[in-house]
Amino acid sequence: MPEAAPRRFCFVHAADLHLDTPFDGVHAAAPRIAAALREASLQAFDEVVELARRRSAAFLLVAGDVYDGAERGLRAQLRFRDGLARLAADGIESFVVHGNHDPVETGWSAVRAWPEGVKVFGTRSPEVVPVARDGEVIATVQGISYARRATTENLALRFCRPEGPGLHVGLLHCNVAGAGEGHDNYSPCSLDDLRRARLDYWALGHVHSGGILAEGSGPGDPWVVYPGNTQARSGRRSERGPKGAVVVHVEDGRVLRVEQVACDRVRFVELECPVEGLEGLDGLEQLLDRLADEALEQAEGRSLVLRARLAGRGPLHDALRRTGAVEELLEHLREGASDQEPFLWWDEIADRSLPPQDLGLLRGRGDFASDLLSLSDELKSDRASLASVADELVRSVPRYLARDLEELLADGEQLAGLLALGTLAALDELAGGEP
Amino acid sequence: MRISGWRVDGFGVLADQRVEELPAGLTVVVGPNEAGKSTLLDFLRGVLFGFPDRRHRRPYHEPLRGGSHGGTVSLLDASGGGWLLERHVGGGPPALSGPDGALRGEAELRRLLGGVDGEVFRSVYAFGLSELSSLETLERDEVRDLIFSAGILGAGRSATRAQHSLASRQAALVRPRRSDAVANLLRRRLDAVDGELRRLREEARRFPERAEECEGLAARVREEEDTAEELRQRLRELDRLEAAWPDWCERRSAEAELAALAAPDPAEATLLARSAEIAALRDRRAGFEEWARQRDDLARQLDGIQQRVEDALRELGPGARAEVVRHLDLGIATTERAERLSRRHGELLAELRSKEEVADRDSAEVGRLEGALSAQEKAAGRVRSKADLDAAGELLHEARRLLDRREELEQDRARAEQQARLEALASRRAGVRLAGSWALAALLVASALLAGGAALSVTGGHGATAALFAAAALVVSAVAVASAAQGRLKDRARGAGPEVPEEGDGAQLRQVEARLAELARSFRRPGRLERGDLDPIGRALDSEVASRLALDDLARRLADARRRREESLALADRCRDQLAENDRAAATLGSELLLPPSLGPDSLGRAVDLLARLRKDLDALDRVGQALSKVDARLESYAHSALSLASALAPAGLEGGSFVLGRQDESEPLGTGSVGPAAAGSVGTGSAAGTERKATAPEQALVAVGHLLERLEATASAREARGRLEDAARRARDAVDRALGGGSCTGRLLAELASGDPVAWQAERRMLADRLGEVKQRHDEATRAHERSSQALGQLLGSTRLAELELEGESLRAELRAALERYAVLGIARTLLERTLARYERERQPEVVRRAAELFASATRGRYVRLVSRPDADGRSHGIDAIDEWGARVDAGSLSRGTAEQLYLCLRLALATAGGAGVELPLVLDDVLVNFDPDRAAAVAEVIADVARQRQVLAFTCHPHVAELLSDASPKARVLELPGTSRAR
Repeated sequence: MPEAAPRRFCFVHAADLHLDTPFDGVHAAAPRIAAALREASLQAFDEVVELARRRSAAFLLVAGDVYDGAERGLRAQLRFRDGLARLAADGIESFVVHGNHDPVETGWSAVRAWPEGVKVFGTRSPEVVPVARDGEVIATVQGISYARRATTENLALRFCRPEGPGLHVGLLHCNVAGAGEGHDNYSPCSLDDLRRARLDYWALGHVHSGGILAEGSGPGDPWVVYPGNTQARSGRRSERGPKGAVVVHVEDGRVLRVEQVACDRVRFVELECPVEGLEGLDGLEQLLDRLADEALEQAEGRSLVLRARLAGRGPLHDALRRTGAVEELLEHLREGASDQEPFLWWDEIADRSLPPQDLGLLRGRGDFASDLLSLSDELKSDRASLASVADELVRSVPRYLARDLEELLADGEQLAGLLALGTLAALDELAGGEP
Repeated sequence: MRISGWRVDGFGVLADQRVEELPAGLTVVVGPNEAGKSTLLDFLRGVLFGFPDRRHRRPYHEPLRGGSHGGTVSLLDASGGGWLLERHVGGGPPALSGPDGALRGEAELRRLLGGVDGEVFRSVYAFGLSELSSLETLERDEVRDLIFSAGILGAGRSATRAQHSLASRQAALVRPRRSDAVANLLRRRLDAVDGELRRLREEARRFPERAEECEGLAARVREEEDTAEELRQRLRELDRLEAAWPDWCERRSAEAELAALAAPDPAEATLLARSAEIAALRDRRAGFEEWARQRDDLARQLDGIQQRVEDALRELGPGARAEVVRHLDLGIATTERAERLSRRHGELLAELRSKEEVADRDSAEVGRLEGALSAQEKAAGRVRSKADLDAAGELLHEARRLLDRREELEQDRARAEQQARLEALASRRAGVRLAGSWALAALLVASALLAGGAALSVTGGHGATAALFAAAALVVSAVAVASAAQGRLKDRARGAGPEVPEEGDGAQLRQVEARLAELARSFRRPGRLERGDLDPIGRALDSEVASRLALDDLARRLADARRRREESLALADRCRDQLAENDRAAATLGSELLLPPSLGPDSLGRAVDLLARLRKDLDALDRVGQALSKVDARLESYAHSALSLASALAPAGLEGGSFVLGRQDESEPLGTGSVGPAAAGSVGTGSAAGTERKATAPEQALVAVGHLLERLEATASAREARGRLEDAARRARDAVDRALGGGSCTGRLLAELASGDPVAWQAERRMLADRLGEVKQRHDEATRAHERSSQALGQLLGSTRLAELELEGESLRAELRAALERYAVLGIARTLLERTLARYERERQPEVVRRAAELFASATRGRYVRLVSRPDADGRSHGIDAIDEWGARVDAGSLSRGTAEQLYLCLRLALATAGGAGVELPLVLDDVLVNFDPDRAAAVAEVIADVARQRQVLAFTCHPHVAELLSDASPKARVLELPGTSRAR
């Protein structure tokens, strides 16, 4: 008997589409840029769909957070439906679970009926759906959606390996311990919890930075994969770098390898820009231009949203202190940047530069400035006093701004950072205010 | 820092004034009023911190004595470095040069001046009596900071100013009660965006309901459209009913009139049913009359032809019969043949006559010539023949030549008889050979020329050339013959005269003589022939030759005439034969055509032509007869039709028919006379027949047709009247149908018309219009609602507004967050400054106040022993109280003017000397002691002297005793006089 040819197929695993995401924290952009940003998440999803079609994937997995919010924009829903319909037309099945951003019970649906070949998992218990090719079951997919946003139950515990041939895949939106920082701890679980289900591949969503938490070897030792989100949503650390989906290659019911494919359209880049040695704003602008060009070259043809963080100590601090100096620089950079595809949008310049003087020396001078630094140090170490300063600030603003300011100052680290900036601002003012 | 000197270029009354090397301690500047002390104070303030401009309340000090408006102040820093500060009004920024002579910027100047601004310098360091007399200048925040927080000097601007700056920047970001700050605006915009977003999201969530609502509205629109259509349909029906009403009434009237008419007679119906036939008869009547006229014409033609036939038969003779002629072959060949024979007969006859005339003329000519010849022969006698005459002429010619020779020989005989004889002999021999040779050559040439001429003739060469060749050949031949003849003659001469020696002239002469003798005999001249004998012989010969030529000419002409006569006679005979032949052929044709034999050939053509015409007339007779028969048939047919129809349609009283069908008399020709009305009038229905003659069938037919037409017209009139009514009824019916528009509802509408009530219809119309208006309004509302819904649905589906707003919201949120961050940073900075300042005031204030208290105690000689600050609710000090020697607390405002001035002076001195940052600025005091009593003045002078030990003091006064007090208190003090005219010492 000749040996049977290996049974090979691949599937695409994506998560956290956040369709129609408004791009958290992006400053007002030029109309063309704004339009590109609006389309970015949708185009990224389209690219995922095309990826599955190009690779003739057996199926597509979407591990939660299809939409950015419970509101589930109509445009996003229809675009998602249309994408899955294209896949269905090609005979590619789709499996979808909802996550904390688009829980089932709080959301609404503009889609009356999904195309045939699309399975949206419910919230009660993981449903098991076999996937067959040429009459042979090649995989079974089971998944469960969030009913509500704050789903703190460890849903992974509800999964177990069913009887049946092929690759066993679990589809879940969850927060695996240690997988990523800065993510809400919804459906928390551990790798052991996942292993206990004895599946072959865990298709997870939630952690935007993505990552392969475990490279499995078989039942009880599954692959645990976060593909990351398909399109970055903000300038946060977890949102930087290429974004997309993974193509999982399977042979005879075993995962051979996981291939990461970028599908994004716009990338967020934060440029660290030291000001030491820089004398004037012209030099700073040239430096930023150069850094931007380098970033654009490395962006694989994607457009960039740039944020610059000016750090270090130097005489440039005085020039940056001038009211409107940073804003003018930002505007100048925007005017000089390309608005052609791929475009480059200067979103923000964060001035964290320090004056040339050493604060340690100021502290030892025994004058008003040294007293001011002492007081700042005291506040920094006395969170209660610092909180009272924050309270005073909140009380000083109109009621309709109080909540915004309160939210801003609620984060201790954020407040400490503001204290440091405030100390510098006070010293700058004592030093003569506007240069 | 202290002032080491100055140079006033021009400032008020001061001009080109220079002071140098001022000491570090006290300098007393003395001068009378208007010497320029206060001007100097303003000069120093101005150079160090800037001159006021013209708009300022402070003195401008325009140079009164020339010089550039401004000057230079020399400074020494703490380390002894010399600085030069030059400033002029309108001269731009000050020029500061450092110890190394290099120019420095304003930042360096600010540092050199310890961060003190002009106001602080004016309030604390360089003041006059006016500033001193009031606490106002010390109540400025900046000064108060200095008083209570001296330690900040040297660190930059005052904390209060820094606070103000921060507050100002904060206010640009957030305002508590106004909404024009950045964050306020952003929040409001964000609220608006969020509100719009909520609305749009809510709208988006209603997408399914919207879709359903849109469908419902569309259904409602259709429903209202249907209702409106029903109402409009009923309105249209009413329109139709009202439009049809007049026609309906007309129809009803017409139908009533029709009903009132008598029922039509069946006979009329029959008549009308056959009206087409009657009309056809009427239409054919004109043709009928034309046929009758044609018939008359044909009858006349027939008569004429008949007459011509009879005439022709008569002309052809008694044997000629028409039946025979009909069967003769009178084709074209026959007629042409007859015509040709007849014509040939004439031609031959004419030719014969002509030939006979010629023959007669030729016979006459022969007779005439024979007569003439005979007469000529008689007249000429015997005349030799032409050959004889030619030979006689030859002989005469020879005789003349021989006579010439005889004379030559006789002349030469005597001169060289012997010699000549020998030479003559040699010459004869050679001549014979040469003549033979020449003759042969000439014959060869002649042969050649003849051959060439023949060749040319054969090859078609030029005739003239050939003739030329022939002529040349003849000439050459002649030459050859001549040569040969000469040779022969010489030989003959030699042979003929054997007695004449060949080689001598004598022989020749004898031969000549012999020949001449022969010739004389032939001339019938006896003796020796002489030259004179020859002329008569010649003349006779010429005459005879002339006769001979005339006779020969007549003979030739006679021969010619005889030949022509024979030819003419032969031609006449041949022509006669031909004529006979032609006449036989004509006779044969005549017998073939059965013509009488007596008919000559010359009449054959005429007879055949007559036969042909006869044949044509016979054919025409047949043709016309046939045409006449046809016309008769037509006339008969028409008459038959008319009479049959008249008989069939005869009224009941005439049934059975009075018309006679068929021809009355078959033998009577049809159309004997005009068939017009007159004739027709004489015939009728038969009752009048027999009065003159019986009417012919055509005439009866015409009458019958007239009757039929009359009846038909009457019937048609009745029928037309009925038809008009029927038409009116039909038109009305059609109009009603048109007005009702046809369709399924027509029956119902007709029923409504039958029971019609226009008034009720109008009432219904008004009611329907009202209802239609209501329905239309509902329809419009539903349509608008549907459009709105559809538009909203379309916008929902195609709009990017939600995404735009979300992006805009996030952008605004980011901006708001950034603005609030900046606001928080500035607020924290401000809080830090405020708290640091409060702490500073609490912890460091006693230093300044204690120092001021010490100075004030000294200045008041112990009257006041202490000063205390007066704190406000915010924990910061806002006032000073003095504690007198008895412990009483006195508010500064309650002190006497002089004491208050002493307090303020002490506060300023303490402030100026209590700095923590080591910044020292010179004190410039302008007559501050004038309001003090002598004791207090002396005490204050001591205080000033004491201060001057720590820092530079420039004390201006116009009072010499004050100068003395100061000098006494500070013996090292330098005194400068400002007399206005004297220069400083």
